[in-house]
Amino acid sequence: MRLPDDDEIYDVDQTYLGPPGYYIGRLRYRMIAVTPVVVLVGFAFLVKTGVGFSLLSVALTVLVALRLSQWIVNKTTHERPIGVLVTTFWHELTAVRFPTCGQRARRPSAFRRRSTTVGAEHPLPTARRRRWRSYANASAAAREEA
Amino acid sequence: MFGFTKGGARRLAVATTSRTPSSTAAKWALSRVAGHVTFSDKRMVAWYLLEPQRWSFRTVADGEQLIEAHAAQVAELVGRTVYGRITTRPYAVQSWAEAAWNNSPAPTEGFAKILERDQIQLASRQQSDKLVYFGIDLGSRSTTIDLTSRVLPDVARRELEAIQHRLDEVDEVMAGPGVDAIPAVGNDMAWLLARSFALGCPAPTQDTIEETHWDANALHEFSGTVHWSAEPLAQSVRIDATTGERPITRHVVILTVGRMGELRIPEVDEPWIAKTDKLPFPAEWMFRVEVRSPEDTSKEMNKLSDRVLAQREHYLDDHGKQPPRQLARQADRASQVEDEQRSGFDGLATRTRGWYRIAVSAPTQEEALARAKVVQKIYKPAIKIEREFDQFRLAREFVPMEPLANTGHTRHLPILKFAAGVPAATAEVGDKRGVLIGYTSGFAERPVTWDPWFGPEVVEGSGLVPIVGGLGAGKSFLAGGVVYKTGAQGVPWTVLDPSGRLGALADLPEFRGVAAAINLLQSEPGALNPYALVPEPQLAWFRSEPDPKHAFTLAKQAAQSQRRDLMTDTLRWCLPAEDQDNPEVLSVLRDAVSRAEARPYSTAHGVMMALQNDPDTDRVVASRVLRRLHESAERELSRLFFATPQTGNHGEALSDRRMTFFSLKGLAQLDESKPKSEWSYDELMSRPVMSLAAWSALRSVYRADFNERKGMFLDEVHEITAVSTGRTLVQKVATDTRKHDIAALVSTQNAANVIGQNINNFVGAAFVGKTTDDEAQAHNCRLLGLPTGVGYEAEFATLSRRSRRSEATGTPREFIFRDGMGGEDGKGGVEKIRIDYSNHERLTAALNTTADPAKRRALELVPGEVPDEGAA
Repeated sequence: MRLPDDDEIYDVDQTYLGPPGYYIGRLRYRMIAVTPVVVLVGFAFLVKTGVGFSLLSVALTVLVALRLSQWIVNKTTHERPIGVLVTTFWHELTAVRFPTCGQRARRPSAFRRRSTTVGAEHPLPTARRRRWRSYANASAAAREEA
Repeated sequence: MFGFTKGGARRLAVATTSRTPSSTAAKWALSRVAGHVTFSDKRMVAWYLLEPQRWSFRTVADGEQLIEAHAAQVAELVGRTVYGRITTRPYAVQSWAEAAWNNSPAPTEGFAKILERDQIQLASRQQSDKLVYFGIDLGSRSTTIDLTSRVLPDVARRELEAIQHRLDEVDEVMAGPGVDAIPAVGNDMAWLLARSFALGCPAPTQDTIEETHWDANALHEFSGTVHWSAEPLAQSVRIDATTGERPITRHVVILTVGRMGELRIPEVDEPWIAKTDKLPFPAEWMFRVEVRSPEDTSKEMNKLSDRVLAQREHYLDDHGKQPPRQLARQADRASQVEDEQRSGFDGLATRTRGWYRIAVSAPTQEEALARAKVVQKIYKPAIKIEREFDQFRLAREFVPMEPLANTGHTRHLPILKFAAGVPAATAEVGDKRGVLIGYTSGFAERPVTWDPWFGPEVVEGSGLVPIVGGLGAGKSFLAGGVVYKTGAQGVPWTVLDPSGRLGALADLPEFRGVAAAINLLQSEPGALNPYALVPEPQLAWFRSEPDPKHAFTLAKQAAQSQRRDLMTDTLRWCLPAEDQDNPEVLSVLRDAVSRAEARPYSTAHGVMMALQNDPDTDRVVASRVLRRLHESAERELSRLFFATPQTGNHGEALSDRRMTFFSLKGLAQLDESKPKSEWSYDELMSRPVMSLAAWSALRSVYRADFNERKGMFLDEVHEITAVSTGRTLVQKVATDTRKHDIAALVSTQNAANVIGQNINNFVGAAFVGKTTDDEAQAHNCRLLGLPTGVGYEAEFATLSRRSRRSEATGTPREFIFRDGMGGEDGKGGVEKIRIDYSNHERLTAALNTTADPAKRRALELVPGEVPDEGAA
């Protein structure tokens, strides 16, 4: 038997040609929705970083925002709407990672905060040092108890 | 948000289990299992295990019927979500071997070795059985119940009772035709959970599980031994499991079913979900399908129609531009779907919304990605299979009760298209107690084990098994393996193989001392005494009859007339061609045979005495016949028929061995194209010799205990059925097999030899090999119970195909096997199978009849001369 499906019906063309009578080109509805959001985020970035609004910074932000919106719109389709892209992004951030802590001996020393400085005083430990033999004795005692 | 762990907890987990990762990092939605219902904090899902459905060799109408029945059942679940989960269970090699061993009447040491080799082969091929689970959403739990269940441990049971009628309703739908599902309780549920939590990991050995309820702590048994993790934007999910003896790591890639073209199932395409069975590695499925009510669909279609119209108007009216054609098509289709929702009450117009995922796994990410590519390839071009980001959450969907990862790639399928995936389709043929004969080679690869006595003993069917195929189809090869394996089980076999190729089996160490190869042509004169070949019935055979004595007397009379027929027919062949059809001569001969005594110990000598002494017959004719018979009694082949009171066979056994291989090496092959008058003496004699040899094989079968399993293999039956007594023999075999527990394998080049005897109703299992002749192909269809004229005929010619460039000796021996084990139409499963004895070296060497110039006799005569491979 012939088995068509309904997926095609849901993939309705989403092109905006401009206000009635004024053809401005073929714009995707998604682009119209995404661009202002990205531009606003860009402006927020300008404020937060203290760059401020100048002709150059605003123009660059708008250009970058336009390019970014285009990229987002190209990546999304009827099959993968923007909502899915956002969810996926969030899920990627929050997925469980393979535990690496405790599996390595120590963190790389280059990024460790120094606990001493060259030329500082380095006193000998005052507490009674436990020698290797005391560890060995303790484990032997534990074995016997078991 | 679940699954997100603070660093402290993670460090603690690592510290407690050192290098084995713990699952404390992952929180699962599944909180409890009661019977076949799984619970999360909010929802309940009832799980069912679907009955496997045969798909190969279904007719189009039959396939459509199955799809419609399945669709109609699922359509009854309107408003509910159906979860599907397809996984595999490793073929129970050990339990099969135990069953095969217990099924042996007197297993020999050789059989233990055979089983060992077969088990190794099965284990190395990673054979598995497919399991299809359907979970039906039972709705959400009220907050009150949720809270009280945390205080009272018995709440889950009471809750189950409360929703019992809802569950009963779903149970009934799932048990309906087309779905045939049973609730997944105990073992089945445990398997679903084990395979889901340790997704893609090698299957653990499963003990029989008695519990049917698991609470959150008990579920830790499944979830506590695995750790799922994924790196940002990873292409796969890493799953570390410690379920087995050693920690295992698997990388799982999740694929999502994307846009699909128009499919034509069953005419052109295969069931789209079951297609992954063809893969050489296991693939798991998970789908979630919402069965939508007609009102919902109508509403949505109207909304979509409005959008389409608005967009059209935007192009046409607002801007005077030509709209894309797709819009017109979409408007049409939306109104058609909307209309379908208003008409028809069979539920087949129901629409679904669903998400379909496939998981493939491998020890490394590269391998897993390569496997994912293979999956994408087998679905090309009709179905697009996508690999998306968010692999971690997509993989979690495979665990019951986990939420949908994201709504991307939503599939809007009519219920018929969903049902046409036929998730439960499988290739199952053969029983699970017999010997391994090969693997299915059509839809999916599954081991084929077959017990030739399953028909007579369990199904109460016939033990006659026709093996049909053209020259070189591998008929003797197939039968040889069955004889070898079941013979080692301790079953007595009698084999009539005119060419004598199977005689090599008698020399195998498994049969040392219990087998004999006898060339009947070299026997003493009178060895094929027709009277001695029809066994004398015994009273014990008729104990189950209402009047045993009467039945016994009737059988004795029947045996006597059988002997007379056999003698008349045999002596007729000893006459010159012109006399064979002369009514006068035949009448004289028949009279003489009738007067002579026809006991098992009688001889042709008695007939000749009757011819000589009867005063009433035409003396001229009688003495002419007598002279011809005297001549025949002295000639090389025909003297085998003429026993005297002193010499020849008088009913005693030709061989006292358990396995007897009769051959007729040296017998002339008949040329059918020549007229009968031009046949040479050797050609003329070939048919009666063959027919009597078959009778002699049959008699040796009857010698064994009535209730004991016996086997008989008759090769080249088309030669035997060319004479009337041969046809009688095949009929007798067909009717007697069940009563005497005989497995009678008969090989022939044309199925008409079996069907023509009007014994098709007695046939149980059947094998059909490569056949190129059109007429023979049609007969094959009839033998297998397949309809003719719908394209199955061409299938027979494509069997055992080999590459033109291949230099490997031996063709793959493929057959279409009907197991005769009941089922929907009573004829059992039909599958394409490939015979495989490659792990039994001695057997394959004994059965190898391929010409090999390196073995030619001239080379054997030169001592120490080894054929130079370079020169060849």
